[in-house]
Amino acid sequence: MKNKNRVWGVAALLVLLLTISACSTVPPAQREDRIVQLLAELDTAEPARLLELSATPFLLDGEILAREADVGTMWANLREAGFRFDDASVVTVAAVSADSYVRVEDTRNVRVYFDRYLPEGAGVVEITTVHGSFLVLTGDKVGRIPRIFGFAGPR
Amino acid sequence: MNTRQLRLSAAAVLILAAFTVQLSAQDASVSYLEGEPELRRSDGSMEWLDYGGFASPGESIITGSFDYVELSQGDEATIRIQSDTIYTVREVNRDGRRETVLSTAAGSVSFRFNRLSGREPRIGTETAVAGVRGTEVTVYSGPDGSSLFLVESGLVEVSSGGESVELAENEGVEVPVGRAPGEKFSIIGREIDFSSWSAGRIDDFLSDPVAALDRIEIQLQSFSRDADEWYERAEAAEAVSDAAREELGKIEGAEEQAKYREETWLPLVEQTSAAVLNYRYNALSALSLRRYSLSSLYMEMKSRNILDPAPEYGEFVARYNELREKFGGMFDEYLEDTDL
Repeated sequence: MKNKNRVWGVAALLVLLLTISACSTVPPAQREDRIVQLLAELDTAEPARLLELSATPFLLDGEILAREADVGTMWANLREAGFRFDDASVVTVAAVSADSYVRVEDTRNVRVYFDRYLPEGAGVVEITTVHGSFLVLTGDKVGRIPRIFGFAGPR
Repeated sequence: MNTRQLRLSAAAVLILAAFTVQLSAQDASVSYLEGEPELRRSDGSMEWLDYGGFASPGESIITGSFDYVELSQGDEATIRIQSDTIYTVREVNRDGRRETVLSTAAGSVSFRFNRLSGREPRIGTETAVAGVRGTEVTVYSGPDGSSLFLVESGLVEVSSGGESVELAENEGVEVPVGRAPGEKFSIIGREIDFSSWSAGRIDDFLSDPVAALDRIEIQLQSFSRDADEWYERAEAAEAVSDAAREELGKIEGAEEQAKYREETWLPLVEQTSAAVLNYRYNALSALSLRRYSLSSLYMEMKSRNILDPAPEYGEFVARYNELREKFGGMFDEYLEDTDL
């Protein structure tokens, strides 16, 4: 009986370690729950928080927005136009690889953006919303939430 | 990148390195800053800017929404870089002389040159440059590529589209992208600030978005013609320089060799260097126009039309895509990945 308890104890410990290990190896930018939190906050955040949650330079479709002011204007205009990531659901989350940029656009501009500005652990996230599907680039983190590095769409 | 460009670029690097010591004397360093401004190195890497830091030729200082940077060049100059601005330092060879161009690629920069000197830098935007003499001047670069020069003291000669206008104290001029400077005006009694001017430029753009892209194309074509011309000159100069270097190897006698090197080969190398510098200057100016104006205009249209596109949106996007395609054809071979 004593041995049986010991085996169960070791098994439970292993499961716990595996769970902790899995959590620590998936970067926040590739975790679905964190990405959903990011999208929800992008829909409601105040301008200063939007800038905090957004990387600069920012990739909008195939264009690199180099100035924070442009990123701020983009969010303000989107809000003004009534745009939100409404009912967003995550379809796929992929780690960035050498040819991930092609999913956004097969251009030199986008390739260089991926090479230079996306941090380690960044993700390419496909989402669907009531406005269509988007590719969202996530990376880094602000507290527990990943930062948005860009988006392309709707497609 | 093709082999020919590679060779020219290598030559440029060698020659630029040779001039580094001379150029460093013109660097203005950070004497005050607020926020977290960044320095973009010529290799494309980014780092935080700190006190004592400076932008060398090929580098840019980028300020965010809550940043401010003041650069000082001893007692000679003060450069004030406002928030949301991209300030670049470039070099160009003009009339056989290497010149530094302090450029407001986007946003607002004020320059104060305290005393006259033989070689004051040129200032400007990506689309208009100005020679200065003992000057206090503010330069705005708008989202549509337009420029605004406001002179508080001294003299400024603003050039664009092959035409120039001279500004004196309390005068200003707007330079639309791809065009000559407009009529100069008095700034006395006029409240002009960057954000309201910039908002006006956006309103103008929105009234006819395709026309704004047409104007940008005119400017890009101008950069392209100049870049092509200088590239051809660089190729020709390099061929002559290579032949001279071979000849140098055949000369016997140290004294004769040194004489040939000084009097024949080095001047040819400098010619090549000047031509490389100039085709790169034009290509980089075009890249800035694309990066800081075309992208900004696209963002304005996309973000406003994402749900219910206005009738003109489709035409704008078609013209925008056409322009991007043309940009690649005109400049891709002159630009390195590190430039982007």
